[in-house]
Amino acid sequence: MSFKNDIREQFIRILGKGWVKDDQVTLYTYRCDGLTLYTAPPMGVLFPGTVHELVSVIKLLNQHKISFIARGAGTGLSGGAIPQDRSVIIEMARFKEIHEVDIINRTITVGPGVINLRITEHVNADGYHYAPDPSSQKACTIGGNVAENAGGPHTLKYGVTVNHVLGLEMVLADGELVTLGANHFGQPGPDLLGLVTGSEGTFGIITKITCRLMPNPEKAVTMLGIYKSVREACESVSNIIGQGIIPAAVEMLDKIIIYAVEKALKPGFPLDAEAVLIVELDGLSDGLDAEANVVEKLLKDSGAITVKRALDEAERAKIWRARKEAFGAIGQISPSYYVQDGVIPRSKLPEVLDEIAEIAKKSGLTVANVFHAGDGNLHPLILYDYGNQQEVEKAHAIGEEILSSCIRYGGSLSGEHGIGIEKAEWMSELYSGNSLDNMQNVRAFFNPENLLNPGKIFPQPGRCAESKSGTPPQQASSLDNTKMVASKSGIVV
Amino acid sequence: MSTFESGSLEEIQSWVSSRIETKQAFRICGKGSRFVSVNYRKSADNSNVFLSLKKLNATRFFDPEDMVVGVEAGMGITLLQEMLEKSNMLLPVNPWFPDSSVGSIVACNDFGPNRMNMGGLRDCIIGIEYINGKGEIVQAGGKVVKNVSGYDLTRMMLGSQGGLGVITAVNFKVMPKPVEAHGMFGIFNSESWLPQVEELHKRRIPLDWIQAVSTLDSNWLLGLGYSGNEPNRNRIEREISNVFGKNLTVLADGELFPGQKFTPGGKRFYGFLLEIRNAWEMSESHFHVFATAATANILNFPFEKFHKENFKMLIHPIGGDIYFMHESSNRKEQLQHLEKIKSALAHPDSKLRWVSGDIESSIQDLGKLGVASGYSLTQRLKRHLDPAGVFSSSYYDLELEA
Repeated sequence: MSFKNDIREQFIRILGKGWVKDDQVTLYTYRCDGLTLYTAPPMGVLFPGTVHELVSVIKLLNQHKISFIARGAGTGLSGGAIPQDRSVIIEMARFKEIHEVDIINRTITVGPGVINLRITEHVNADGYHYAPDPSSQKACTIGGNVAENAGGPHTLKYGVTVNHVLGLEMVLADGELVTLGANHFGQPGPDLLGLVTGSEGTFGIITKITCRLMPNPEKAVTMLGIYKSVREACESVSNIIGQGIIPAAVEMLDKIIIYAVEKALKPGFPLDAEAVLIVELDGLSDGLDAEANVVEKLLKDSGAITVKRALDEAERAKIWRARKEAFGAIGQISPSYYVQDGVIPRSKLPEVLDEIAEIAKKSGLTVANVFHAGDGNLHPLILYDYGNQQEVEKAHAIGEEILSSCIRYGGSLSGEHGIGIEKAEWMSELYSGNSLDNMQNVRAFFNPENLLNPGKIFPQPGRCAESKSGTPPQQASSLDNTKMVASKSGIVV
Repeated sequence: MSTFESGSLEEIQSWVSSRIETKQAFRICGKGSRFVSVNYRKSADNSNVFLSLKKLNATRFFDPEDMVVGVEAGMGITLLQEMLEKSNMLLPVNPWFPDSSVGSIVACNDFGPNRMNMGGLRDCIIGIEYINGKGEIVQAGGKVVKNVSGYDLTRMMLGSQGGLGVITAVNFKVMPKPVEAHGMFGIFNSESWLPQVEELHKRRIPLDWIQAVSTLDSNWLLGLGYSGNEPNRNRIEREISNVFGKNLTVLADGELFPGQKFTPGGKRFYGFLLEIRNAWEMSESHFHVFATAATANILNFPFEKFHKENFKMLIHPIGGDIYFMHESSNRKEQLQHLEKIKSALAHPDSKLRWVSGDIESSIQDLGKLGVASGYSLTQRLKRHLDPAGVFSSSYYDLELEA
């Protein structure tokens, strides 16, 4: 289904012919985001270039009661930009202006379509960077980062997106333009800026963002701890932080990931290791080596066979490339993967990883682990063949068992990828009915007719869980129905 | 005036529910530690009924290994910090008032000198429990340090000043105590320290905090805080000396600056405004205003003019805020002072967080400087979440011009 002729004409009048698309190739291209397990083609895709155009488009969509979704680069991993219910996609790629750099106040104001890494590139010569660094930072947009409250390896020390957003401008569901926050923290009143961050595009469409800039560390020491067991690597994490040291990043890769990245990128990781731990310290050069010596001893005391330090920037870059491109490297060993994003208390890492290994063994599929160990933010990658329906079903079931395990250990469903459609049904496992209703009541304020990104975050009526109040999201009746799997999420697989 | 007080969550819920049912407004208070009327003296509904949470003060959990803690809203910040200190940790929060309750620092979104490096409350709050406008106990967030499962209602309640619900418990991530915290201090007889702070800021030296205070004899006492191992501290001290010369004194955390009643950075984890007020020999009836502004606006603020007019000031120049006091105690003078400050703040992003003194002040006196951007949206959100209008808070009362 594409646009009706009269509606298409109205969009063309606002945007121009080249910025209204509903041909089959476009619909196919926009049928999913980074979560390829679920697909649904949009009604069409609009490419506004100005706030005025965006407001006009939203008002028109409202008039026709057509649901719509903002989309950045489509790198999201929870299906937040999948156009359930044939929603119209509003592609924000044209909002890529860098509006202002304010070095004394350490801020930068950008359009939502600016690529995450572009911000750092823009201010690097001045000695600053934008801290949240999701693995997709070469492709993902800052607007998408705000919508999902994205993280990355360096959030252990520097925090996630919400800690780095000072202000934003957004268009609400009815076309009203609002500004939240300012050029510094310390605004009076409820932190609506914090509320909007991570709302997965259900409160409005962001048109401008003011971010904090962080000073570049004078020096970084990147270490690689090599382990004969995953458990020992996990214990190292607690030992470092227990000593009062907060590294810039602590990342763990298990032997399957080591094999995949060695095959793809050859960073020089030992193939006989069960796990490697990347630990990075940063700050002033004075005293940093002394701190690194303390960490090296802690790693060895908790079982590291060897601890290597990156000798120069090139070696450091090689290690980080292996970490950040680990998901892509999986392509060397598996046709498809399904990544989870549960969070657990850091002290429970050994138990939960044992449980994941047991789940994988029982299922017959392989589960690889590369994750933010310092935050307890897991990324189990379930390897499967997309062409094998039985494996697709198993992958989904494994994902659900892992989520269940995270909740049981006092954790949460998602640390940085968001809930999207992928984990919506699990929200009722995490929160009480009152708490979920309360969240939906907030959504009803911002998005009373549920036109903005419907079907995300909350359990859907008619599926496994019930939503007791708020505006009920529409059924996912129009999703591709070629591959249904009976699972808790009840969504297309 | 009447006050309902209970240590039982169920009793508090039941009382709030009955107020909602009968649409009777009330105001929330913690330990009553705020010696100035932070939230303005008058609310639109003139509510004279208080809900006190000071008895709701239990520890829900403390996991030192995971560095997370959950406490009820009435717990005092001093007790919480003492509990954390036993595990060599702290909540890097900077209450202005001594022994504020946890609920009040969240409701008022307190911050202070440590925010410069360690972050403010919005950086360490991970979960919340509150009673909403339907009288239900609801939770948001959780016990883990990273969490994007659903809407971040923890932050919606942060700074809500009692207007969106009754905060009953809060979960925080905490951090290890800074290693070997120290400070460099010096007396200045002019504002010459401002360009020096700016120069240090440009050099990107990682300080924990910077705090400048007026002294009784109208000079300035500046403190620059830092921490780390010895080579790290030595480097920072060299960098500071390169900018400020050799005239600053190094003190370990907790040591007092000789001859002064207040040492910058002191009690920054417990509430320092009472100490500075006493140092300046001011009382509650004197004029108090708290303003926030961006670094550039603070570095260019006309402090000299205000010093000449006998204002006492406590400044966090980076990122940034200014606490003004003046010994005038009649309403007319105080309103004139308020207008002077509003005028000098100039930039629309600068804000006034509260004003107090002899003024029967309201949010109207602060005007747009007293509210955040998107204020109209905030007012509408309040009406949506508090349809019975029971959560009395004057923050939401400003009448905006059409």
